Amino acid sequence: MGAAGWDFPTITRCIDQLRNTIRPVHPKHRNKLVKDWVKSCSKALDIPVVEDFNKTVRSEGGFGEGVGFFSVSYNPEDGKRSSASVAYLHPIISGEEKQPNLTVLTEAWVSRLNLSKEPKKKAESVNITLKPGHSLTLAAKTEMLLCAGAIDTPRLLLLSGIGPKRQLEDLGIEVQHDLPGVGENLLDHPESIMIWELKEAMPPETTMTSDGGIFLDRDGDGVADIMMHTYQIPFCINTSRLGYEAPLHAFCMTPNIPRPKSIGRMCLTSSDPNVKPALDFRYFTDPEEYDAQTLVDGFRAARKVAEMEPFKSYLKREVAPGLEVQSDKDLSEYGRRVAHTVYHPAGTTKIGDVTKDVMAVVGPDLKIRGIAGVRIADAGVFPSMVTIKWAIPISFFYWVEMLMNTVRC
Amino acid sequence: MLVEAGPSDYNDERVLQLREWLSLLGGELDYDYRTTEQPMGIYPFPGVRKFSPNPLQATPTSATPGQKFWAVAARTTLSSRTGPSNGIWTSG
Repeated sequence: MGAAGWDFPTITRCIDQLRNTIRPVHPKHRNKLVKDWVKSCSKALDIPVVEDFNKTVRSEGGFGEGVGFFSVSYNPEDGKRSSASVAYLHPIISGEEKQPNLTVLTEAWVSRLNLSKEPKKKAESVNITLKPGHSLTLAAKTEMLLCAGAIDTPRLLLLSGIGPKRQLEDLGIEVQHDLPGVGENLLDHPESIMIWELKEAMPPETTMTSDGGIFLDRDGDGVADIMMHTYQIPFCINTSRLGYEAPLHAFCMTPNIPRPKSIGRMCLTSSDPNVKPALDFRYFTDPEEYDAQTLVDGFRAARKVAEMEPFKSYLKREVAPGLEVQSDKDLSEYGRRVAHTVYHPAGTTKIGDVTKDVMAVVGPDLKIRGIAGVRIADAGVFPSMVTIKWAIPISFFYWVEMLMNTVRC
Repeated sequence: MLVEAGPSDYNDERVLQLREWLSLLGGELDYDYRTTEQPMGIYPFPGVRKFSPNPLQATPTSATPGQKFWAVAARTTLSSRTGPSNGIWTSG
């Protein structure tokens, strides 16, 4: 993929340096129903119970199948997130730590990245507008990092005239730098849902009402290709729209496509920075129908779990899709209609070998192709999806560690 | 200089309390991005009124043109920073 140097030992070394407190769901947040669900998953699908997913990844380099409580970046004492913001910025904002050379501008809208002219283009400054309305141009001393995410980073580039020449010209945006890959390769984790009504209310212990997860490996290659997590609440937003009941007490399993094959794109529809970009994920459009079939296989696995004690005894009935929905065709149709995003957009400024891949936006050092003085450090640089969520891989400080190592070298 | 996206989460219990994540959907901090119409999936399919195999279904869909794309993790700060001499800020 052209991501030289982004190997397992390097990644794990960087993760080890994170301040975030990442740990399996604390025992006091594990309720009996989800514990019994874990047991039933293991029995019904003949997969191991995993006590610590991250530990398993660390020791074995990954895993194909397993079920257990998730590792969560949180503080069990107060239930608060342990995000990059909490772990790194809050101590400085509160005065607990000193960082005198740090200035944070909030309520500041960045509208353009300014480049120096040919022959050697360099990112020199950004235009910002502060909330009171006045505008500033801020110049970087040495380098800029764009970390606005897989949607807003390419959005800023496109609005700055950095992107596919044709798209920019069609919108009347002055082309500063023709970069065809900006906004392409839009990836996501689509997810569907099954809902059961419970005989009684869900026990109250939880971290985030989604504490357990299951990973299946259909082809036995050692990489999970179906993922499901629990919703310990009636997550009925999409099923209700289709007319399904929303039971008061519910348990959900959510077939999810860890490595989807459908690839979308994002683009601007206007040169007006206030107009939101068009996000066309092209969900379920892969010609082999791998993505749709993954949902179907997930539904069938979930039903096996629902038939297995001790979990079975908690269930009153399957609400959605309902037992009358049985064929692959009907399950696929239902699954796609109630599918939702899990908010993992990625890939829109992908990393690659910039000497060979015309669609690569950044090289392995995260520098934007053909522009000096600017790098991208967010989920947009990943050329393909990771199996689970992006929270740790895109942790800003993780990237900084990578960048700092690059710079120091 | 570093550019991030999203509002501050400092002292904002709505964001900090992990258990409250669901309340962020569609709320003040939501980016409110939407997908374009997705003909093969992700609610709603164009022109579909209901899903027929289940007899319980009777509610028509809305005319929403695409799925609302929520940014539940909107917690960072649109900011620029000046840092040490190499231009990259680090906490270490």
